[in-house]
Amino acid sequence: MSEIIIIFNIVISAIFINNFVLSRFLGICPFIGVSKKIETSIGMGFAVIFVMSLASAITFLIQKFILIPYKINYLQTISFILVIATLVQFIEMVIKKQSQGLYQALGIYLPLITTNCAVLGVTLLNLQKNFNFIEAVINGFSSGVGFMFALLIMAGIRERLEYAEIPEILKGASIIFFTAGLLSISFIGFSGIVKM
Amino acid sequence: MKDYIKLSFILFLICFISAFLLSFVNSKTSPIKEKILSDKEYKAKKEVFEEAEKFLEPVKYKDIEIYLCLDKNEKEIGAIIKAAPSGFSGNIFILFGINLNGNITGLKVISHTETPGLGSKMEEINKKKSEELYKKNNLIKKDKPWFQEQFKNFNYNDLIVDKDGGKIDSLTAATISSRAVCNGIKNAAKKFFDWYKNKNNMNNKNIGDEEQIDAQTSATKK
Amino acid sequence: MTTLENLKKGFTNEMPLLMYMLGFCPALAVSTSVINSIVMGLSATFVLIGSNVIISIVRKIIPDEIRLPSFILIIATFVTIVDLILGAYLPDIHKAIGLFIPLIVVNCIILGRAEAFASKNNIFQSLIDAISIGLGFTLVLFLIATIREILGNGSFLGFDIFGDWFNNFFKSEFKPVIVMILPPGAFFTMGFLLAIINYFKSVKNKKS
Repeated sequence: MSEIIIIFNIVISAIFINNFVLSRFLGICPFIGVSKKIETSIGMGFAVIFVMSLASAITFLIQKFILIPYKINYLQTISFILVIATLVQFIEMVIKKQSQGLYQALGIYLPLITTNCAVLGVTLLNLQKNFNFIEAVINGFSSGVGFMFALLIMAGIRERLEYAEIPEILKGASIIFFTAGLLSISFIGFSGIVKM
Repeated sequence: MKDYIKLSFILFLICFISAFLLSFVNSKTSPIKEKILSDKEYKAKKEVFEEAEKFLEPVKYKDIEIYLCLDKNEKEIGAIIKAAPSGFSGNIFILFGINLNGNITGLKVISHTETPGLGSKMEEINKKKSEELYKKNNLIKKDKPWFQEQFKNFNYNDLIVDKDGGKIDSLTAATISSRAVCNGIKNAAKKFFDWYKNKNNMNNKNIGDEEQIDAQTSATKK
Repeated sequence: MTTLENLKKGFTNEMPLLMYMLGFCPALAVSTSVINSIVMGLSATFVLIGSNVIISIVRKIIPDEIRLPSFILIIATFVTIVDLILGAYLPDIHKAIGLFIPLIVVNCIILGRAEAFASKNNIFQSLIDAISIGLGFTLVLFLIATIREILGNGSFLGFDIFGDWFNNFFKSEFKPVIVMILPPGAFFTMGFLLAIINYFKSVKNKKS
């Protein structure tokens, strides 16, 4: 199988078939918390894509050149989360300097990317699937895109739900979860496109 | 400046204590994990060669891997062989046991990329079919895939599919896959016995002539 | 608050997932089987107890600027310990929920408790807080998994429960509701449980 086909499989799989939020349950907290408005979803989405791609790259190198050669695999969790925390801190500083507006808009959600299961999740999944460097970074990027995709769909639905009459018993998080469930079912329709 | 030093120092201290604690826990748990892994491998090998008690380190010979098997008295009784014959669409990775009489003691198909649904019937568990085959061969375990179980006790020279006049029940509409497995075992077994004969001839030669033995051993172990 | 209130809160007004809306990722993922959920819940409880106690002990020593990284380091240490122990003593379950054990590090519940409680209270209260929230978490996980495993797989703790008695009574075999075992089932179960909580809340409001 040529490399291009493998990469294509990774992209399609990460966005549609094994969507991080709707299928792998990674990144649910921000999914529930941030998806109220489309603008914040877009901002959060891009930030997450960036962090996930970079984190995939750096953690891959750490695993290959430090953890495995020195047989300290048990320090994987700690080193990975430190890398992610540092990356997020760094991005926060950059955004603060470059664009005050975006920084205000994202507010508390920026540091929360550190605790986004999706970021740590993708770095671990890359190793589990034995990807090489390029495949790992592409998986990080595509998974981030998949996350943003799910976030946007949910934000769109929620903006509409504001005008709907929801039964008392389903108000709040309840209706959101049922919506997510329906979204998840529709995404199952994508399975079988590629074998992954 | 003093602030940064203090902050870095505290973080460093936490890291240090944490790493120390973790390496301690790791040293206690990793031997347990290794044992679990080797137990699993041992169990898988026993499945294809029940009589064997001990399995030696694998030897690579041509395109097969040979694990010599010893019984409980440390006598050589056969081998487990890993081979990857070419099937209908890719290699079929198999693991089979064979005793020194040339009879198969067990077969396990580890992985393959045959047509889904057809070739993958290799792993199908069919109680009825197993019952039928059990009448002809009482070594068959009925809760295991019938296609693989039926190979037990066949001599490697007798592995011919029914479609070619032999006694191995082929998979419906997957004769090529079935044939591939039969021929794969046959060829691998032949290579094993070649290697085994040479190995024994080596041991019977004069021990004094070490250079000659080394040269010949490296020639056969290509 | 009193110690008793502290102990009860994980099961009442600060119940994780249902009241205290955090910690969903592992909850939804491992709740396909009751055994996995119990192991996950207890692992998270262990990490929570460890981190709460240690953070409470060092809360006066750690400077404010490096609060978050220090907490994360401490939590990650306990998570790795759990990971190593599970890998050695419960290998099959470890293989099943493997990916989500390191993810306990980023479980918002644990960092949330460290930030909101352990860094501001004494050791004993922090310990009680950890036990309460941790066991509450385990209980909710158990509930979700029970619903999903029974409906989606016809089993409980791995044992089939819709056996012959079902066939004889209903004159047909039990067909599991497969969607419950799949991702949508997790979302639906959460939505359903949250709806029940809403109902209890509204009943309580009507009374007062």
